[in-house]
Amino acid sequence: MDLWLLPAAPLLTAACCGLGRTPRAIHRVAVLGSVATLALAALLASRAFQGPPVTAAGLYMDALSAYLACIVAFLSASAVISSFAFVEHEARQAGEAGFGINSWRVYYGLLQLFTGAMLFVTVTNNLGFLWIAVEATTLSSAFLVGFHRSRHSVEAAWKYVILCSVGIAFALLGTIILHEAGLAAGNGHGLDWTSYAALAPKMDPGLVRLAFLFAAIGYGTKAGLAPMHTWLPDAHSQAPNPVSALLSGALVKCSLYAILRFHIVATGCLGPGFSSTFFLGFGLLSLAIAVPFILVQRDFKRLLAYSSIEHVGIISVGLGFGGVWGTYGALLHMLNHALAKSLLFLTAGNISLRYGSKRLHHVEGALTVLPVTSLLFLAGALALTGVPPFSLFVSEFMILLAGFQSGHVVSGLFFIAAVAVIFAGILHHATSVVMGTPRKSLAPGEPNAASLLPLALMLLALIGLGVWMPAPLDGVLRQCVAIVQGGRHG
Amino acid sequence: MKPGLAAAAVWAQPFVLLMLAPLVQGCVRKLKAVLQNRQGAGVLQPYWDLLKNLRKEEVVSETASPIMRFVPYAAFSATFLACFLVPVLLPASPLGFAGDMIALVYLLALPRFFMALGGLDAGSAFGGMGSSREMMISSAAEPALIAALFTAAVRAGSTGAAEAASAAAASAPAALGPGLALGFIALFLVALAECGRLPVDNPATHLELTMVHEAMILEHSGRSLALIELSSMLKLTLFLTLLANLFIPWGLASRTDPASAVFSAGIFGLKLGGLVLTLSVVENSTAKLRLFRVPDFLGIAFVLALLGLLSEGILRLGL
Amino acid sequence: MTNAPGWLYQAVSFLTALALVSAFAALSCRTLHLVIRAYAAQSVLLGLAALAVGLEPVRWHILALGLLTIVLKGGAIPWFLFKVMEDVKIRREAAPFIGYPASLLGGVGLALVSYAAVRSVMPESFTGRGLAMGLTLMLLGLWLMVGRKKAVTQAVGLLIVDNGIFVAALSTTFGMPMIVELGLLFDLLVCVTVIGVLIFRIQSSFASINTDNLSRLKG
Repeated sequence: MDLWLLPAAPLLTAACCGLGRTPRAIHRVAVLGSVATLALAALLASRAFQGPPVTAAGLYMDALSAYLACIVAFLSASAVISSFAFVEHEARQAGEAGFGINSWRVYYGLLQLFTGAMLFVTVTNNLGFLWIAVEATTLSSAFLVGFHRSRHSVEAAWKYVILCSVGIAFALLGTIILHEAGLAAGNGHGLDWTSYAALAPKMDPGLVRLAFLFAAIGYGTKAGLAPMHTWLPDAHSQAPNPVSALLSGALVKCSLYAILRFHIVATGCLGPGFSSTFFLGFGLLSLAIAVPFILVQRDFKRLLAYSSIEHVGIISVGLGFGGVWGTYGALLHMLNHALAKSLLFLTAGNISLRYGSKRLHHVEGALTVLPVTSLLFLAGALALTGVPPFSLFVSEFMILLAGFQSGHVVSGLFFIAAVAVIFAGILHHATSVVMGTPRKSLAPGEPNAASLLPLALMLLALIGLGVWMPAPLDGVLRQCVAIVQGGRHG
Repeated sequence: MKPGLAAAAVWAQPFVLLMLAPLVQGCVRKLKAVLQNRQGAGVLQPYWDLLKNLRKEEVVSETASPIMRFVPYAAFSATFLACFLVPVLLPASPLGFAGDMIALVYLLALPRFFMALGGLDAGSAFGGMGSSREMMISSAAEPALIAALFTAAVRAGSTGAAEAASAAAASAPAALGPGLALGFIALFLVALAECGRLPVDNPATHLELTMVHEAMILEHSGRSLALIELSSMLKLTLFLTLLANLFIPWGLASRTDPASAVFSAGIFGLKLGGLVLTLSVVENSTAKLRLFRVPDFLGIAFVLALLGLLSEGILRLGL
Repeated sequence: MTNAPGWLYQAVSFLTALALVSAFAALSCRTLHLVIRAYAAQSVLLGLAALAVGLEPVRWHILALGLLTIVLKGGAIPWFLFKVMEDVKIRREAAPFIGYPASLLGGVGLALVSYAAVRSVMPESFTGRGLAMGLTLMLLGLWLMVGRKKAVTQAVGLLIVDNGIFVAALSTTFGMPMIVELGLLFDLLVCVTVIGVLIFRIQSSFASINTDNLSRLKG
């Protein structure tokens, strides 16, 4: 039953946040809760990594879910830790009347609910609850996206809720069709993923194909795969920065994880060809769509949002190339991207708060104003584009290798071209932000050091993973690859 | 049973309709009056009106061409001919071998064409206005009419009215499906438009801005007027008969002989009475639509008929 | 449903066909409260259909689901939407993106497309027809969302999509397990609440609930 503690911990924290009296108290409670959740996730994950999958009534945690749960918990903790400055800034802008203690409670409470829903996505075994949890992530983060209350953020929140709800409706239809296929193949009335994975070879291929398509398009909307990505730049750019980091670092991975679960069943039934083609096609399309928008971007956070679409595309292409190296690279890339994107969203947030603008051309010479943050930002940007010392290079290289090995030469060349152009684009934007002299005279000085600490840790992790792969992580990833390829389940 | 007698019974059907038509009109008017807490004229009043008009002198505009005199006869004979294609009490129609429901639709379009010509011919402003409105309505009503009739035709696998009606009656309770209900509603809406009933046209008004049908026949008098009035009554009765026999699958005699005709006459009377009541209630509870909303109204009828067609034939819709 | 008596079968097919008609009614109505009424009627019809499906053989979880559907989707959600509509003081859909006759005809086209699509992968059966019906309702809901500007109408479109899924689940697998269905209903309620609050925010920031105002974020 202790597995239930994992999604329950953030809910408990949310309740405690609702009781807090002062902003600082609420923040402390939330940080405490998040760190506890992270510790819990690590503890449970280590059990799942070492032994058979951890199960509880309705829940199931194998290496893959444990890996995802750790990413989610870590990003959530770092987002919560760095939230205080952002919310305080928001409060200062809105004034006493528009921003009471209740807004603090709502922000931290929803952030915890959001985390809880994502953790539930990773550990639930029931495909029905998987859908419910993914929809719950939309609903709990809707007001976080619209937290700023400007016209833009209301628009972003509306599009986010409507498009994601509609898209995900198709995933429910896919789930129903899989249920039908399962019933026909002799599964009971349960919706347990493990039993589907075991039954997969006996299921009707036509129905499974249909089910995978609907589910992948539905959850793909939530993951931001092109052409269902249109809500993503709006939501990611309008949300408060810590929430953006969480949206693009964790939520996107959770949705991909949901598709992966269907992918495993579909692979069991149809062989790897069918769903890999889906991943490859949508992945390449996402890469292609991200390129022009990154090149001509004028807004800080939209730049990062389109880069999220690019990286979802890369992960998807990795899964599409398949094989051990493709899958390994895609899974490693999930972690790498989560780290790099959080780092960038949080540092970019600090910079744009200081300059009071999200426009790229309003921000110049950040190096003199915010030296440490700017360095972190520049390093993060380099990491994000896959420059060698950083770990994103490793995972992208593996994916590319898998592509050429499996004979996808054209796709591989296209992949290289897209990544190279995006590298140039992002580097151009990043250097113009960091270098030069600021137009307005801004007093140099960093925000509080405590919030820089997790950022520095992320950067260290990015560099560390780039030069040296720790054996435990390697083992975990190998287990995950085996699960995705259908080698081990149940 | 002698075949001659059976044939005579079949051939009597259109004449029954002709005799019933003024009564139906009278009943509708009486019911509407009662529902509005008025006394209203007796149900036989339309017969007296027709007789009165038949005896009156006819006045024709000096500018009118011979078409004007020809119009009432053409209108009446086409409408009456249409009655020969429809089964009333027996599962056969006198001219069913010569024309199906498609012919029926065109026979109903013919009087409209002539009446529109007549409206233009007299040279009055109202007549022209009425004609143009009538053509606009009919161009929207016709596709819906055809789609609704096809809903009934699909089950029988034949476009003949008699075949469709007897196929519906033969599979009575099982035939009750969404297709039948949708087709019924669609045809009812079309009937409202085609016969100039309330949400589309008000048969009781002579207010120049709103009238459609009445505007067209404004210049007719005497015997011409009587014939045109009779043909529009006949048209209403014809539509009600179609509704009763195609979409309410009970009561049509299963064999062609006069004895069963007597039995089915009772049920036909009940169905007709029910439809007349429905018509009066609908007319009393709706307000007239603006002219430019009429195509929307008929568009809904068309969509309903299409849905009925889908569910009845091609797709067998529903769970 | 395979060996249920004929009248039950007929009742279910009648109810779902009427639910389809109510989706078309939602497409053809100009005033918002009629659109919401059409949705309420559709939910009640589908709830009744669920009751009929659960009757023979008796399946308690479907009966309970039917009742819940009638109460929540036919009563509570429309009531909430009416309240939202009253508070933002918007009654009509003045200038839709897609005209009314065009959206009706397009709807018929979508119905044909979804039937043809399902027919091409599934044989003609209770399940196949139900799936086609569900897909049709989903597409009609989407079509409503695409064609209209008012946020309330778009919310109703989303709810019609949800009803389509309900039909699909009911006819293919006789509903999900009860606990999942409860979760889905709860999700729907929260979703409607979130949308309601967002509609208030749109109204207070733009002084209108036309969603074509929501087009500033580009590029």
